[in-house]
Amino acid sequence: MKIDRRKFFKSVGGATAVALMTSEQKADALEEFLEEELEEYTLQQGRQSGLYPTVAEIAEQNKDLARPRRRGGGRMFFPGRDGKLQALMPMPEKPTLLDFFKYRFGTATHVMQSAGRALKTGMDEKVVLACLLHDVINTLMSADHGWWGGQFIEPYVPAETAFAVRYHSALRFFPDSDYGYEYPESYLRTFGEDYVPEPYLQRTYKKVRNHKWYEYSRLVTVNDLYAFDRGKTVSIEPFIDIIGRHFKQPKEGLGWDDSPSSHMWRTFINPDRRL
Amino acid sequence: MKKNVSRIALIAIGSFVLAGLLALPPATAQDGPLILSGLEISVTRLERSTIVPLGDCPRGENIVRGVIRRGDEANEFVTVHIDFKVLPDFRPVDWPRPAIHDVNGRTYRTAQVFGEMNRDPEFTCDFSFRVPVGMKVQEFLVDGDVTLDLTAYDR
Repeated sequence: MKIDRRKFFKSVGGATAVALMTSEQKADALEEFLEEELEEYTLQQGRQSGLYPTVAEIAEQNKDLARPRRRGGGRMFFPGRDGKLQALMPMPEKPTLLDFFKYRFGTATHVMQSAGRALKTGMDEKVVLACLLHDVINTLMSADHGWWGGQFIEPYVPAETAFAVRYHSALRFFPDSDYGYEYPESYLRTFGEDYVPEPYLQRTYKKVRNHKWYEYSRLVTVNDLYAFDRGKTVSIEPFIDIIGRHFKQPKEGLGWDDSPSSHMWRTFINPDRRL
Repeated sequence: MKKNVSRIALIAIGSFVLAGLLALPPATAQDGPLILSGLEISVTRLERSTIVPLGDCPRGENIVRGVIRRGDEANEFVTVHIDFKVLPDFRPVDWPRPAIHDVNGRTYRTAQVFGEMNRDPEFTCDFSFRVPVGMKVQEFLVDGDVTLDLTAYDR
């Protein structure tokens, strides 16, 4: 794929911003840019032809055992489009959430945009935090990422925040006009135009729809859908106070505090651990 | 007797005035451009479709779109196209998510939001709402009771 250099620079905030990036941040940004370019290209193709794959066609693609990766794996385990694995910087001895944003979660543009939107529109800080954390697990695991992500943060965040993250991935399949949440066109391509959410997703939706914390999770989807604007530059800075107020940082460092999800943080720290 | 006639007349006049007040459009509904917070706001057209862009306003490089899935014959999107022009007395806005009312007063919402409204001197935004097929649109809610009349565009 040919890279539009000017477009890429603009996407990350200009040449000055690029100059301030570490080489791995540049690699992350480039990978993210290329993914979006590819998505845009495929959407344009789909719009022109009016065709989307069917569930059966996607299942057929999944039978290809020669493909480089399975769809649900976290991107830190697979080469990027440049054919290389993501470089991993050493982590501090007692890493904090901000360290994970700095060294492991990639550029995290999408989640910061999402949280920024929640903040700007005056949403509850528990929702803002949920937006900030809702997809960080994708670096480790994409399949059913809401459940993985909820479990990942549960020991450290308000119960409403963990609930919001856990169920946002299921709610994304179900439009809700009361909140203006729509079914994403990209899902026609990702899951197939005739896709019907599996029974476990239907059950989850019914359960969450009637839960008193439904709105927390729904608001994550509302901000999730729109936060893919590569023209917007974002940083973790506006969220540091919110993290301080709501994220319980263990004194031993994330990964070393023997919580029910410490192993997930440790896998982030060292994904090359063989066993 | 005279007292009764006066009372009836008073009730009749009162009812007439009240009916007249109720029949009036909202004070802020506009036929032409609406001027609000230093922005000139004009509806340009209404569109009905099953696939819509869902970017914020002003539009960024967001590529996300919403879709009414095949088989859902009951719903469609109404998209309101609006032109904005930034005037010299512009003041930053803090408007809620916009909404529309149908002719029966029911509210329909979008997750799209207003952003940096003075980023460009002039721009167009599209706000889309999932509505029942054929729903008659009444007005677009900008901020509180500030509305744009849509009836002329819904043909």
